[in-house]
Amino acid sequence: MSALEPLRGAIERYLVRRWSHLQNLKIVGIQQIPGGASRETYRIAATFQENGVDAKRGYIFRRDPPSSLIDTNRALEYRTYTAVYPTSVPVPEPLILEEDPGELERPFSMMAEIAGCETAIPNFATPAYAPLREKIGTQKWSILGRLGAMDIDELGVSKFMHAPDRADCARRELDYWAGVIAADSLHPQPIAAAAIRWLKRDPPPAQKLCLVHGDYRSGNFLYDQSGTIRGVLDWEMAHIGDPLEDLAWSLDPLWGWPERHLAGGLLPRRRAVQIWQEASGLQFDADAFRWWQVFASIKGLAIWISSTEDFANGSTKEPILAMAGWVMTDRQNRIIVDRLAPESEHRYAEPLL
Amino acid sequence: MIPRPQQALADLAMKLATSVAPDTQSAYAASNAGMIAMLMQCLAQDFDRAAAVRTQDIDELVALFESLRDVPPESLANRIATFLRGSAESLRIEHLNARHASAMELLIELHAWAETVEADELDQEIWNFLIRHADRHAYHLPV
Repeated sequence: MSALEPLRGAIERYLVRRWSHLQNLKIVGIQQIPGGASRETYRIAATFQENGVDAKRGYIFRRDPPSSLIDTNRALEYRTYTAVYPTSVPVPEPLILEEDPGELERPFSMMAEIAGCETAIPNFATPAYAPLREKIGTQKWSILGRLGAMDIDELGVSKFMHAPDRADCARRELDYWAGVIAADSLHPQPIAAAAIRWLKRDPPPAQKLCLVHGDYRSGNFLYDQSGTIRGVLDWEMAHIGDPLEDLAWSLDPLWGWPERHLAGGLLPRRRAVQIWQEASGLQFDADAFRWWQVFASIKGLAIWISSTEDFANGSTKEPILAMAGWVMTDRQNRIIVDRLAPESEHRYAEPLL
Repeated sequence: MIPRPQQALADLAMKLATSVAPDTQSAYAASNAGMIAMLMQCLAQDFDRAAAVRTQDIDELVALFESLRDVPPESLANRIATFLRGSAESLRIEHLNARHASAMELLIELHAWAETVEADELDQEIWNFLIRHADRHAYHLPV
């Protein structure tokens, strides 16, 4: 019997009750998807009859883990998917949010699967995908521009997310992530401390408020073999904030490591910014963006430091926590030093834009 | 820096034995096995250099604290003096970590003070140390 058989059976029993309008529902396949750092993620295949017609569908089942890379609110993430789904920003269709831990041991959500896609960054350097970099990159930063242009009230996210003051959103984000570093560091962090002091000097006001994805980067969207982006994933850190936050995060050198000239392994940073500007209609404020670039590295470092702590002290011992914690902390520290040291040789990151 | 590497190796070995080995047919298990292999490379690098890189950091900070031309506030200066009179209890990583942490805490405070009083030369020296520190703690992994 597969180790996943008990979960398969439990999901099947749950769905038979939940989707009682379907007949003969069976879960005929279940696979755990690697890399789910904040949720246990499974791909499941179901067969059923609907109105007498046979059907087979794929779903993505995401369950809270006992311990997570990012402490997030599953309901907020699910509502965000629901808000974004009808727009021009492609996301998987959200189907179920189950917050009762009694159903399947821990709360979970389910979405429709977008089949036939990849997420991996290393693909962009392969002969099959390298010619598609411009196409994928253009979509990636156009989608982000469109997200930045959307009105938070029309999108509906202001009904369930806190909308900070435009003057205050940079400081709020900094306070939160600096707090994570303070709480979770197992050893003093002089590079983080220097960067946080730098950031505290001049947090910029936002030119507008928008829905910030919070982890918008290569690796977090699905693309098919034609180079079409079919879905933006992992909205667990979504919040209302400054559109420059996602743009800076998407351009962090970490996401194309060790290639420092192509943002996210796709396009030169200045080209990405140009595409974003055209799609968003927003201004590119270089001073404010410089702040958000350094913030992106501090937020990353906070997540990696937190992962290190979680692996050391938590119960799951998931390798992804150590991978993120040990390897990414090292790289992110090198990026920050590279960017802020007065006599930097910029070996790991291009100078701040 | 990896905390408690010996414990981490034990934890990873347990993971390999209990959750990867029984089911290496799945993509998830294969991914875990790949990550564990990379982590073991990190651990191997740290195992080899752990004492050396910590000692290098500590020695460089001792030199930096001893050569301070700008005089920090009395409380910080006293704690630096106390640190300079001390030493690691032994070469065990646990003891080097404790000495290293003390040095890093003082460095953070000194750096903040240098920025406040615009002691640019000291600020530059500290950044140069941080560049060397980040380099010597880097993991060299296959892309």
